[in-house]
Amino acid sequence: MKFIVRWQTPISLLIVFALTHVVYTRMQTHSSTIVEQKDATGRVVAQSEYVKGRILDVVRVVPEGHSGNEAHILDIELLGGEFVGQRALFRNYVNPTGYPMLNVNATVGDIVLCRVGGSGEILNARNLVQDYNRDGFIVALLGILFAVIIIVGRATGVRSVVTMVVNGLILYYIMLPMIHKGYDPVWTIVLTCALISVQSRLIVAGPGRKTYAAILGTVGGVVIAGFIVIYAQQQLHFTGVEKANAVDLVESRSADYIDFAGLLLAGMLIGLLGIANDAAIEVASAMEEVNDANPNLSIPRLMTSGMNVGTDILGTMTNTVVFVYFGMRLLIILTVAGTAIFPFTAMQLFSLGVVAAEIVRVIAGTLGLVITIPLTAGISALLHMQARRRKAVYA
Amino acid sequence: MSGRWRAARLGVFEAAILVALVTSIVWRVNADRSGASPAPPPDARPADALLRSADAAYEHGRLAEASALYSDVLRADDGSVHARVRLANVFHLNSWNASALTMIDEALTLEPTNAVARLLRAKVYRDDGEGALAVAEYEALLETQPRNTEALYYVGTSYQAARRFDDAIVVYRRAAAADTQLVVPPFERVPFGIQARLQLGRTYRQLSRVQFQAGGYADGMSLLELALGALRDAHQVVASISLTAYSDVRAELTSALSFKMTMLRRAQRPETDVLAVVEEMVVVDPDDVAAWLDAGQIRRRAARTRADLEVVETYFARAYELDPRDLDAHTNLVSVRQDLERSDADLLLILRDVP
Repeated sequence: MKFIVRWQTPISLLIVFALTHVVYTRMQTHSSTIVEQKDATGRVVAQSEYVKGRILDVVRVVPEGHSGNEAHILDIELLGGEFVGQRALFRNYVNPTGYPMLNVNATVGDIVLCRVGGSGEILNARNLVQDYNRDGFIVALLGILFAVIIIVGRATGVRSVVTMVVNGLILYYIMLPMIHKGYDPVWTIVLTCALISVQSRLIVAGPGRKTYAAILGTVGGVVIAGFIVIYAQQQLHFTGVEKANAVDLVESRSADYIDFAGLLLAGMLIGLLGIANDAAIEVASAMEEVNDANPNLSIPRLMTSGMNVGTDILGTMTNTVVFVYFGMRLLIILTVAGTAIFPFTAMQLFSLGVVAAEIVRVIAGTLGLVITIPLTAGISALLHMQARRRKAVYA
Repeated sequence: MSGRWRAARLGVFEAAILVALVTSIVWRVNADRSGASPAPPPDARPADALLRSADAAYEHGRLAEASALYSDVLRADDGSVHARVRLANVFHLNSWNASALTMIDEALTLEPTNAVARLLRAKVYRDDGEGALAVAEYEALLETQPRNTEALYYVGTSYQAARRFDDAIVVYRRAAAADTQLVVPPFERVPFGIQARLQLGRTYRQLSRVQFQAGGYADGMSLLELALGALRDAHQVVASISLTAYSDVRAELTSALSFKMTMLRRAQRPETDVLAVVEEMVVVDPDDVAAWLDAGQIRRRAARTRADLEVVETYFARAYELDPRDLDAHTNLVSVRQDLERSDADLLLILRDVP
């Protein structure tokens, strides 16, 4: 046990090292089915899928008329999917004189995301290069992030990494399937927030008064913010998607009904979770320390201490909330506002669904945070009061 | 060992793992993104072996594999016209027409008289909407190969699209006469000889419609007979080479016969003329319920004896057998059977009353 405790950081680093390479390699051979056709027995007879492919050669570069487009005919070997190991010629459209941001300038040796199709074992001849291969890099970056967290945070770092992974699993395997199955997105997010809050606090801080206070404070803040965004939705008529053709597009891709307005509200809440969690644990932790240092401090005085810490946190965190949300999308909108791209007045700007939604997101997030602090302080004070009474009874 | 030394050793070990992780990841990401890791060499077999494999894949319809192999052939032998033409054909089938034209131009630079390449170029031009260029290409090819059925058929379709019907008829006739082997070409469903006959029938029918609309009944009918002649010929050829799965000719012939029936009725021609057409329809397509019903009804109006009515019953029975849910077939069959149950005297009275 002592050995594991002493060596937990290097062991965790080695696990991160191995997993990063395994997942990175797996990503290169991963495939994703787009459409498949089955026969009467349920056997797949034809399918179309996304797979990674390595460019072996640029066979020809063909100018396409006077448009300035070029068709790059690429010899590509497929690295995964139903047709793994097969080679084919792919077409990649490039416009060197047009919009450079739309081009995929892939060359020999690059691994690219391809869209392929076929029936049985026969690959179609008409295939396309879809995009750059990006997910491998994200996995690599995540591996480095985890390693750095573990080195800096040691045992807490390991627990933080475990928490991050579990949070990711909760989001992917619980929250998204529930929303897909048609559960109300807002209350699904509230449940997700509660789960994330419980597991994060329990793994990082372990069970105890400050953990319970932080969990209850966070969930309370998210629930109250939930009511605020639902009220805002009723008043401001957000649709969740601002263009009718975008709704058509998204709905055509899914057999299930998706509540976009609910999703927008849910998105507003999930952003709050991280900061509310931080604020709650800081308030609860500070109150725990104060109580330990002076067990005779009165409960109202203890709560005042918690609130003092909370107001300091509030001063910095509210700015954090504003800048985080501003940096996400508002920056782009406000930057192009008043230009040829977006020649609208300020009044039109603030009535735009997407802008109004971002502003409501900032306000609801900040309100949720502000509410989390007194809520946590109150709950923490109550728990301490209960503990003191129990102690007095036993004494 | 002191605690400080142990901690330092642990720190060095951890730093080494981190450095190894970062280095290995950066190396792998760079290798993938910039092509630093060498691509596997393309198939290094001799050009003729590659060409055999490519042709085998092409002929079995594995076009993705074939196209990759043809590009290997071009790496091994840059002068291969055959590989270029086959690649061009795959690109054309993919609708990558600019790429197909590039390969064809390269092939024709190496071998300017290559008939397959010229034919393909004409098809690409036609698919790109360059009708005049396509016709010029077909005509140039026909100067050197006047019996090329594919070129004759396609130049006919181009003439037809340009409303040069007389020229289209001439080349369709030439194509039908030239295709004596009646072999199904790659990526086609039927021989060009049959397609030419079918198109010839369609062209005559198109011309007959124009005549009927202009009020020229006699001219329209003679053009329609020419259309039916071409389609009957096509139908006979299809039957002779056992292309049972190909139903376009039968459908076109039935449709033309139906059109003739309509025109005869509109011109108030004798019912015997109409009956002859409907009788031919049930021979061409024995599953045509409407034709069996039409024939039965015409025959019933002409029936004057019990024997005539028994023949009528077989027509309605066939229609009912083909589609038991058809209300007309059912009521007609029941009615004829009821009549057949009557006495001879009653039946004669009824048959005399039929208009």
